[in-house]
Amino acid sequence: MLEVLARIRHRRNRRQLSPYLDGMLSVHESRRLQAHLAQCRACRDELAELQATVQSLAELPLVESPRSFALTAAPRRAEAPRPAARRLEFGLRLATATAAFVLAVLAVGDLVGLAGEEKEEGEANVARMEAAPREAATGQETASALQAETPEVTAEDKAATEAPTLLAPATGPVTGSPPAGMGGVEEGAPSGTPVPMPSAPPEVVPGITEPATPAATATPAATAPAPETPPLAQTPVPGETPSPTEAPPAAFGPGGIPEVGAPSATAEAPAATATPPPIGAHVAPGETEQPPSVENQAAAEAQRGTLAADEGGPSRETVLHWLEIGLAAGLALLFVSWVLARRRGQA
Amino acid sequence: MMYMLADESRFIDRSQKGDLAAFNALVECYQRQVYNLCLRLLASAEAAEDATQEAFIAAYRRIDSFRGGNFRAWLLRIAANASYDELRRQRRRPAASLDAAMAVQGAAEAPSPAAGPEDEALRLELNVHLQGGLATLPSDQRLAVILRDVQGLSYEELAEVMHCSIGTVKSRIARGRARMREYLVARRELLPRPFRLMDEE
Repeated sequence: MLEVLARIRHRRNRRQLSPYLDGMLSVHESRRLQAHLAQCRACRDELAELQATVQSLAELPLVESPRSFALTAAPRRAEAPRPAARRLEFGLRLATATAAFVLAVLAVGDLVGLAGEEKEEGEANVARMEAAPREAATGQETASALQAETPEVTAEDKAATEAPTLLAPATGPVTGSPPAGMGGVEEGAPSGTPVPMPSAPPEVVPGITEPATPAATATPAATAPAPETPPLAQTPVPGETPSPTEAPPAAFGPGGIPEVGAPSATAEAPAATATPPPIGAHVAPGETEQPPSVENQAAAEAQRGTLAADEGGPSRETVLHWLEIGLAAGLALLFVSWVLARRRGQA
Repeated sequence: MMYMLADESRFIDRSQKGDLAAFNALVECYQRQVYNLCLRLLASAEAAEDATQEAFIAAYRRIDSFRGGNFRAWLLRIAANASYDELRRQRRRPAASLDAAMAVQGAAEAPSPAAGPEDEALRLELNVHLQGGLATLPSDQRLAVILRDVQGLSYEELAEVMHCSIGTVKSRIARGRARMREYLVARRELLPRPFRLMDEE
């Protein structure tokens, strides 16, 4: 036991021999070391050897400089203080950090569920605001595309006629519209009984919603709004029977007013699957009013429309996941450019 | 040791404004110390010359990044880095052997007139062993021992040169010295006075 203690003390003292030579120990430490040296031959020897080592090193001669190293021409200055580059690097770093933070928040929110929901709703709302006009476009697009696939499109005549009704539901009951449309159109068409509310959405819905939206649950939503918009709906096109492929024209063809409603409905239908009803309801009113303008914009905004539809429609999770993927990609890009900027700055 | 500039900071100031003459005054003032550091780190006169020149060029290019403080420590840090670069370059292409380098170095040292020829021979031999011992140290310990024991810098200056704490300086010096001691003790019979005396004790 005592031996162990002594050995520990010996080791500590041994470590202090070097700073002791330089006078770098505190008074207390020096005294303790001196006491140890007095009774430890090994440490005394080592101290002497260390001293000899240090002394012989100190006696190494300082060699004369073989020549003058003065510079004959001024070398190019290092671009040390390039403020622009530095600012760029700082900006990139900030952006990277921000992106990483947002991604982290999103990911956490995704996991926890809460944060994600809130965010999405916010986004959805924004999307709606922007999307109102576009929706028409999307609707048309989707409608055309879908119709090709859906033979039952014939129902569209009714749909067209009923389109007005749709206006209301279209935007509002995003979630519901697609299923409603499907169910309504398909069933309605054969039967020949024109169901105003359902029919309108159907056109668009079929293509888009068919795969995605299984339940007709949506219908109720659609129906609810329908009452509000009826007036418009009636004007629409009764006579036009668009063949499946022609579906798009059909949408336009019917009453100008109704058309808009129809497309918009369709557009939302696809998107709607996920979106909560309340949101849809909000949107509905605004959209109903916009129909006329929509028609013109349709083509130009087709792309954006689809986007809007995506945001509004797909499930929160999908949106979140795409957001996360996009963010991660952006983050990677940012990080790489930051590293590059930094390396360039240091070089 | 070397002449000091009366007002170093003024020369630094003018150097920062692009005055090459002012910078060269600083070069003249420090070149011997810089060259010796490179020589001890590299154990080759030729490589030390290259590293020294590189160090001063780098110092001029980076003079704007010197913001007060100990200019010598700043310069020696650059010199140490230039030496490490040189070392890396040497490793890539097999350079002159260490022995040859040390022979060059020995020849470069001026014989001290006070000592007799025998003592002189012994001293040269000891120096060769010291250089050999330094070459066995890890680079941070080598730098610490050279700066402290060969060049006589304070612990504080070492901390500035090496960008580390006093505690780290202390331990690098202690470990470097311990290794040097072992190296020399292992060659005791070859060494002059101090180590032989120790043996007889």
